[in-house]
Amino acid sequence: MNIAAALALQSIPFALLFLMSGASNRDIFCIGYAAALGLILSLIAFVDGHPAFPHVFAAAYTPR
Amino acid sequence: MEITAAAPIAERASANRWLQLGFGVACMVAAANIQYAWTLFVPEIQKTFGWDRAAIQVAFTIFVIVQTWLTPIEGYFIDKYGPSRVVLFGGLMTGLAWIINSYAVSLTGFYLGAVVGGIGVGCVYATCINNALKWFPDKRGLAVGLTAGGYGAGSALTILPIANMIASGSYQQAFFTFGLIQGAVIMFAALFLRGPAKGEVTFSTKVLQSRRDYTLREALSQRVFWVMLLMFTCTVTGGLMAVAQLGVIAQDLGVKNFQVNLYFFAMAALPFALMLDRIMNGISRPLFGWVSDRIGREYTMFIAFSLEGIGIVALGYFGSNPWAFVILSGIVFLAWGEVYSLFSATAADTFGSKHIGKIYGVLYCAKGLAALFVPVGNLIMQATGTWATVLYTVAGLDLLAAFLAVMVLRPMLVRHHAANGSTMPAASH
Repeated sequence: MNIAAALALQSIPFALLFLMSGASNRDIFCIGYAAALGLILSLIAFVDGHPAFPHVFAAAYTPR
Repeated sequence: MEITAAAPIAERASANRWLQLGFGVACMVAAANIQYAWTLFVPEIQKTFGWDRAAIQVAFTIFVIVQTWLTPIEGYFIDKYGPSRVVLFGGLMTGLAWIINSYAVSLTGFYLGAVVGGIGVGCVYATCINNALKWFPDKRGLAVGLTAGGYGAGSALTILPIANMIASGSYQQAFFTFGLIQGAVIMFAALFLRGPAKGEVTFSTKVLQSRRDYTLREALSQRVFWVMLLMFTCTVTGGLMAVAQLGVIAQDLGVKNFQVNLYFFAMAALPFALMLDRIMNGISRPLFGWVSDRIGREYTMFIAFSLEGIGIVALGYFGSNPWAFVILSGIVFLAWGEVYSLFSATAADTFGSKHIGKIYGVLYCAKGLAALFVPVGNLIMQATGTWATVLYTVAGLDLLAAFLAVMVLRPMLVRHHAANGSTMPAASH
């Protein structure tokens, strides 16, 4: 989990650099990146080898 | 920098907006069962296929992960295509999800149903909240609170019929029948949804509101956006951590199975506290939303988050008394549910409503971030050997958010609105 999460999190500075640039379609990139990063990190957290993670993580998403 | 035309102040609100709110609440009520009634089906699925319950519950986790993290994308489509088309699509997917479940004979089938349901419910939830924000700038807190409350309370109407159908027939029949009904209700209501035209709504006279519509890019370049994201994440993380530890806390305090006697019925303290969770969560959204429309968002945040922080610490100190445990749990949940109505309303007040689908969609990712942090609470407990550390961490997050609300967010918003030329309301808040 740590390596996978670290790799995913490493993308954040690069994404921020792109968002701060003058490139077009930054809105669409931001939306797509936020969704993709969140889904990937959630997947990593859920399949993490730590025994507590899937249960606690799933419990965190109980109806609110 | 793109500057869109500021919406003129409307002279009167359209009576149609209450109909729009009604249709929005109807959609939320119809979509609620995808989340809240799932628990009724799990034992039947387990009985039918003999799968491990944890494996079946993965479907629910998939559902909420998809529903949470696709919100920014759904927000983009809401701003681009309007509420009717997005909710129509959402209704189709919501109905399809349970139809898939009715035919599923493998875990993969149920997981597919969960993905489809997450997309559908996400579309409905995000759109109805956005529509409430646009139609009620003068009552944003209340409108969003009622809409979000409809999602929480909606399952109360159909939970018994579903349970009866499962008991008398087959769970597959319940999935299929109610999937069709719920999808049809949402798709029908979607036909009547629309955004307000120029001049059709009035701004608030009590709350600072932007007359300019920011794009997502512009919003992200504002520090106030990131302060709101930080506060949103802190408060949701705190609440989720507290809930995740509630069973352990009740066990350690010796109140978990203590019978709380209300004379007309008795129930163990922990399940009673969890039942209160649902009720208080539902009440808190319209209640604090209404309060924020009157005294301002930041002051309401301060009150609610302070109450949450103090309530959590008090729970740790006094929770060994079963009645104190139940009452303080209720206060904690009452002071927590409103985050979804307060932050959505504040975002619309700050950045305008034209692009609020995308803007609040990104802000809503705080919920997903918070869930990622919750296992950290477990690690803290394991490292320190006590849940007290977790409670203090939670209280710290809430009190930090309360501090930020009045000492950082409020001044930032005053400067933000002054820079945009927004006039202070007569009862300046």
